[in-house]
Amino acid sequence: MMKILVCVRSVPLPESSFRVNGAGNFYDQSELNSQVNEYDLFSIEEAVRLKERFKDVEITVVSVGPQRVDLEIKKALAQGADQGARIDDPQGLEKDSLSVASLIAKWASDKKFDLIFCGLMSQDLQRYQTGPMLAQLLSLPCATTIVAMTVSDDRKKIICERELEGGVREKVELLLPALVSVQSGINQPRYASLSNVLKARKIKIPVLPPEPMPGLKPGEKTGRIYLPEKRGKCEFLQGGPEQVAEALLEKIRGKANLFSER
Amino acid sequence: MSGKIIVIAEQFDGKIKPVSLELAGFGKEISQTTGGELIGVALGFPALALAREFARASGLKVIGLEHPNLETYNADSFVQALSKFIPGQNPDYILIPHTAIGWDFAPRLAAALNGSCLSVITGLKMDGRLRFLRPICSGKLMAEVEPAPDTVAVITVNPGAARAIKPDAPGQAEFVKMDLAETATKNLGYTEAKRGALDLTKAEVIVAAGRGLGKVENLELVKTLAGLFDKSAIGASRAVVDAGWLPYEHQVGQTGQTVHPKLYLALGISGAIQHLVGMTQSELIVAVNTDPKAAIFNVAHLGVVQDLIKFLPALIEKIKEIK
Repeated sequence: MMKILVCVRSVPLPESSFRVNGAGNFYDQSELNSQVNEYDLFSIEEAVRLKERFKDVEITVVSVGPQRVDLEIKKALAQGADQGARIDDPQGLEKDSLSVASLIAKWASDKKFDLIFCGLMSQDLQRYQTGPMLAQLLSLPCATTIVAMTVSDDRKKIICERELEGGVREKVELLLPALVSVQSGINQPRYASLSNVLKARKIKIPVLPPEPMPGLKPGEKTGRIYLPEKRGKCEFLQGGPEQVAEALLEKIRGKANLFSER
Repeated sequence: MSGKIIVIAEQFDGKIKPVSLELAGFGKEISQTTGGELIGVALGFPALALAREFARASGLKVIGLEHPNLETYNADSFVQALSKFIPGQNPDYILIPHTAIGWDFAPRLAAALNGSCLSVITGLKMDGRLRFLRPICSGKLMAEVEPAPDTVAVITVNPGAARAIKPDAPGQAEFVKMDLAETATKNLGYTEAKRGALDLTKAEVIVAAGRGLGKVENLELVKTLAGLFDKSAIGASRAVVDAGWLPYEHQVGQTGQTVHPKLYLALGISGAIQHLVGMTQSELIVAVNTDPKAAIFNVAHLGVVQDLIKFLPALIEKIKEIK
């Protein structure tokens, strides 16, 4: 049996209108609709494909946060994961990456997962940290930004392609157990079938106490969250589509002759 | 803690990458406020030539860390080598470029050193103590972050966050041989992605498509619009390429091409930092987006808050009228 863990985060819809909370140290989470972090959807799909290939594979989805993140765990289950688990930390979504990695590491340390998936980053906090930190805390080899992967037939190793800048790819081999963090575009995640959605609804999600790894110092501290200062140079063109199109064209023509006017 | 600032250069194929000099420039900004000593580090095999190259280009004293396992990038070996070397230096700050190599090992190094990781840093601020800035929520908000008290800060600095350092004189270089164990990670080498004929850097006008277009069919509007300009090309955000609407050769941004055309038309692009680092040097940036709070408007010169499906046909008609 191959045991796979997929770490999932609940994030607000990226097109949300974000406001700073009353304390000024996070965004206001009330009234925001949530979704599964998109990078994690690619992870789940990759895990489900391994299950389709090797059959005797068990996929567990874990998330850190308050009860409402069960919604995202259910969505991950509907994509084809077998079981879920929620590490019940009411502040889990606001915590620094090291604290989150520490909670997952402590829980996962005796579970003997063969392969752990994380998303490259979360769409809200965009820190790129949790996956590699989790690997370090569990003493696992790790590759981030992977855009292709193959597990060997004997399931002893995984060959990953990492996407570097400028179209360069790095091929790296990791001995299992290992952790990979997935870049967007590695696959096209499937839509959950209705039967899987219904099945997922019935799965009970165990609630786990938040226990950190012993002996870790606290991580990064967030002081203040604020709206970025506008550089003040963006001139907004007002009016209906035709008016704005005409005004824009005048501005562009004033700047440079970019049309072959005939 | 000694106040020291360690700048870890990035190398590829035995050459120091230019982003390393920006990183040293960022280190200099920290040093100007804290007075901390700046020291460069380069990992490789052999390491002395690398250390010399970085010392010459940056003016910093540079220490090379040498071991056959460091010849090409290997996360395990990098973390091993640095976890052995860093404690003797006792630095306050360790700077690493926020690149696909930097973000691969920096969080692990922070965990290994029991330090704080501050990632995707685009600037710093001094008010009593140093704070570092990170864009979040696709650039709609900024976060001010700092290391936990009495911990070393491992900072990944975003490309473009600082100007490249200008050395007064070449720095000194030395190297140390490291003793490293074998790892469960093996680097199997590098390949260049198949690049199509499209070189976006040659275009004077780039009409760039983002996910705000809604569906692949609406790309026709983008293509029609691009066809009305001379020397134009179609660019794309990562999301559009991931969705398979356009091939990789159109991608602008950190993992795509870096462009600076006369006119950059960003259509339905939110303006995440990963895209911005590839296009903010454009001469004139026009952004069209239905969300007036989209971060793309923070870098645009002209902003249009309109539905693309109504606005683009109007713009296309107007251009046809003058042609």
